[in-house]
Formats: sequence, C-alpha cells, structure tokens
Amino acid sequence: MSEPTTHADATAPNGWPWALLRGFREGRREALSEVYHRHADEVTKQLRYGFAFQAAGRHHRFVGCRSAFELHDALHETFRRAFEPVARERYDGLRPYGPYLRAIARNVVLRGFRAREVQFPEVRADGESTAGPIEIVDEGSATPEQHVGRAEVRAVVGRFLQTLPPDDRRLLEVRFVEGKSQRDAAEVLGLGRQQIRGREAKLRQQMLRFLRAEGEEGLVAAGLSLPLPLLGPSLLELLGEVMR
Amino acid sequence: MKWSDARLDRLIERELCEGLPPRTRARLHERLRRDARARARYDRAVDAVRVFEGDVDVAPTELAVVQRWLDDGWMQGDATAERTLARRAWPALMTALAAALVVLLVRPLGDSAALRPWTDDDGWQARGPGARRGLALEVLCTADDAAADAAPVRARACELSDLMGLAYRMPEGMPGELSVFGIDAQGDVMFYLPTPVDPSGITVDPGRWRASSVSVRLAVNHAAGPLRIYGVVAPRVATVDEIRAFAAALASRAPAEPGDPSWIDRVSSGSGPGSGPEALAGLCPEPSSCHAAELVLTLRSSRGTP
Repeated sequence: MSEPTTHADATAPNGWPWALLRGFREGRREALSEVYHRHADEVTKQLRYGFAFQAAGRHHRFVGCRSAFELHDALHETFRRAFEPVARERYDGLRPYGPYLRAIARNVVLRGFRAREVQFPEVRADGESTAGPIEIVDEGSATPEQHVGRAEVRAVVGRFLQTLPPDDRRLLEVRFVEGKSQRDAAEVLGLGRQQIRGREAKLRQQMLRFLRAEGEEGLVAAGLSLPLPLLGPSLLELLGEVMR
Repeated sequence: MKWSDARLDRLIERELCEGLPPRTRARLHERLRRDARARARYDRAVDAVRVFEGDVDVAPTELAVVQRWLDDGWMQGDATAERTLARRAWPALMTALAAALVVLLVRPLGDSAALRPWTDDDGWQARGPGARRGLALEVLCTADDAAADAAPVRARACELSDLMGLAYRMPEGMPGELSVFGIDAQGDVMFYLPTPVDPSGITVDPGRWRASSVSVRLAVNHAAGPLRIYGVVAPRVATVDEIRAFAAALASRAPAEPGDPSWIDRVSSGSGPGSGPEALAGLCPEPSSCHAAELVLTLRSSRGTP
C-alpha cells in the first residue's frame, strides 16, 4: 500500500493519519501510545460487559470481567498482543483497527474458556448443531451486582466529598461532571494546567485514603448483600448535596 | 509473601495514583491473581476512582494504569534493545568520549570546537547560596553510525539520531553513588542510571572528569525538543520509584536559572506530588550527603532543526 502525499489523502483507509500508521508499524512508542488512547475505551467496555458467543453448537455468554484487576489484566494482554512486532506488521491499515482489537480481546477471554467455565454460563442448550465458527454478540450493560457495588462506593465517595473545601469540589465538578479537559479546566478556574493535574492527583489519593480508612467498617466488596438501591445518586448529585 | 492489608492498600493506592516500580508491581499482581480478597480490595479502590472521576464505566485513571504497564513493557524492550545496541556501539562511543575527555583535561577552560564551554562555572552545576557544590555533569553526543576515529563529539549539541553519553566530575574526597535521569519535551521521565530493568548506578570515581557507562540511542524513546537532565550523588543509588517521584515534581517546574537552589533543594522545599522534605529523606538522610547538578539541552530532530 503506497502512502499518498496529497493533503486530501492525509488519512489512511483505517482513518488514522498516515504518520500514525507508519509510526505504529515501526513500533514507535508515541504512535503505540496514541493507538492505545484511541481504542482502549471500546476494548475496555467489551471486556467489562462481556459478549455472547456460540461454540460447538452451544450458546454461551461471557459475563464480563467481574474484577477490575481482571479487566486491567485482560486489557493489558490485549494490547500487548496487538502491539507485538508480528501483529503490527501484519496490520495493513485497510480495515478499521477497532474490530481487529476486539477480536484479540475476545481471544484473550476465550483462551480461558474451558478453564473457567463459571464465567461462561450456558444460556441455551442446543445439542443438535455441531461445532462451528464462534458467533459473537457484544453486550453492553452492567450486571445488577455491579450496580449494587457501585451504589455502595458512591456512598463512601459522597462522604469524602463532604470533607472537601468548596474550591476542591468545584475542581471536581468542572473536570468530572462538566467533563472538561485539564487544559480547559485550568482556563475556567484560572489555574495552571500543572496545578490542576497536581490537585487532581492529590484529591484522588486523599479519596483512596479515605476509602481505606472507612474500609474495615464500611464496604465488604466480596459480600454484596445489602438491600441498597441499584442506582445511587450521580456524582453531580453528590456534589450538589455537599455544595449546598 | 505476606503483606498486611494496610500495606496491600498502600500499594494499590500507589499503583492507581502514580504507578509502582515494575518489580513491586509484579509482586502485587502475583498476589492479586491468587488472592480473591486482595483482588476485592483492588476492585473496590478502582470502583471508587470510577465514581470519583464522574461516575463513569471506565475511569481515565484505569486506562493510565494499563498504559503504564504497557510503557514499562516497551521500556523493557527498549532497554533490552539498547543494551544490545550499546554493546555494539559502546566501544566507538567510549573511544570518542575518552578523546573528548583528554581534550577537556588538557584544556579545562578552553572553548574548543569539540567541547564548548566546560568550565568550573558552567550553567549546570548547583547554584545559589544553599547549593551543595560538587557534582558536575556533561552530555556528549556523537553520530550513531560514525567510526570511532572519525566521530566528532559534541557537548550538549545532540540530534535524535545520535548516541548520547554522560560524563561527570566529583571533587576529591566526595564519594557516593551517581543517579541520573531526564525529562524530555513531552514531560516523560527518561531513565539513565538506574533504569527499570537495571537498578545499578555508578560508584563515583572522584578527582576529574569521568565518562559514565551510559550510552543512550536517542532515537529509541526521546522526543525532539528540550531535554532536562538531573544528576545526584548520594550515599546510595536512587530507586526507579524515587526517580519517578522526582521527575513528577520537576516536570511541572521551569528549568533552573542562575541563582536558583539545586534541584534537590527545590524538590525538598516544594509542595505537591513527589515534593517535600520526605521526598528526599530516604536518599539523602543528611542535607550534606547529596550533591546535585542539572543541565538542559535541546534535542534536534535533524541538524539545525529543533
């Protein structure tokens, strides 16, 4: 595949700039990093919420990585495989990269198919069909257990937010409720970007320490049996409550 | 390995906030894989980060965590490749460096074409009333593919296609271990001594300029633009974790100017991530036990192009 030089053809068939595709295939670190940023979110969601598939005539559903650590591990393994020299060189840039990555992610998951059947409950018996290609349907919602766990954590984060001064809450609102980038947040709040970055990092650390301090008497993540509402207040509502 | 819950939580917190050194991370992962209770603690912390960062399905911090794992893998690959390349390229660079140092010794205050200002009052020594004088650093670059006898060595004039070497000088009677790291134009930390795969530094040989064993193929992972290099001689070599923290503290600050205290004083007296007296307490237990130097140079993508 030749690389055009006209401005109109500045992007490769897969939608990437040619320079990115070239850097990716050469294994340049900044190109790999950009590809990761472009595609990590979609792969993460697939790994988190799972997918249905058919194997050997039976229907199964991968319920998604229940553990964040397993999710991170699978995400890492997916990109590690995708970024191996052979895989990079084999990618021609003609097809979209997202589906290619999701196929690798599915393979990462299916590798443990037989060893970890607990994560693959059979959803329909179908003994008539024989082995055939694996058929996959991506799914996209959290399980009730995940909703309950999140509601409990929301309560702790809400208590943490109550301990913060107004300017810190405003920073969190601008960044994570309004969804502004660090650069835009810096402009809105009249601060430097590095200040935003530093304060944000400090708040995240404080929040985790607060979580740790409350941990022994608060959450027991392994035993989620409390009759809490499935959906707690959003971060905006939490912030609104403590800012009033 | 037996870790208390408190230690486990601290490690998880560090992993999520700033990243653990590769070996510590590997031990944490081993524990998380075999211990469901430990995994639950990790999961709970991640869930809190998701709520904290906008009640999202996937927090930006999570993606950054996995990116660090990938980065360390790439760095390990880079370092392996660099070690292989360095073994091949090192004799040529050492020959050129040795020649440059001979010039320096003969004409220490000179301004030769090969070695530009290289004096006792050059800009990269520690300055200021509180500065701890002693260490001096220099960066020397030469073309990667040049034959040893034909390779001109340039002080602080480097291109991305070059091999970069480091030289240092410590006064007589000041022993210690030298650690050196950089911050490139993108704010990324560059490990020279030690690296994530090689925790060793250099036991300094005081008295005169010495070539270090560092040979860096700049094209591998450096970005064009300003490169800040920081060195410290301390009772022991800095850990990769400490270097990450120092780099985090220094990346947001402007490079030092004449009259500024040394970088270890600035880190020690600063606030924010990686700063404060405790940041240096482990490496420099006594204020007089460390000597620091820094310099800044511009890496050019090709001759004459910043």
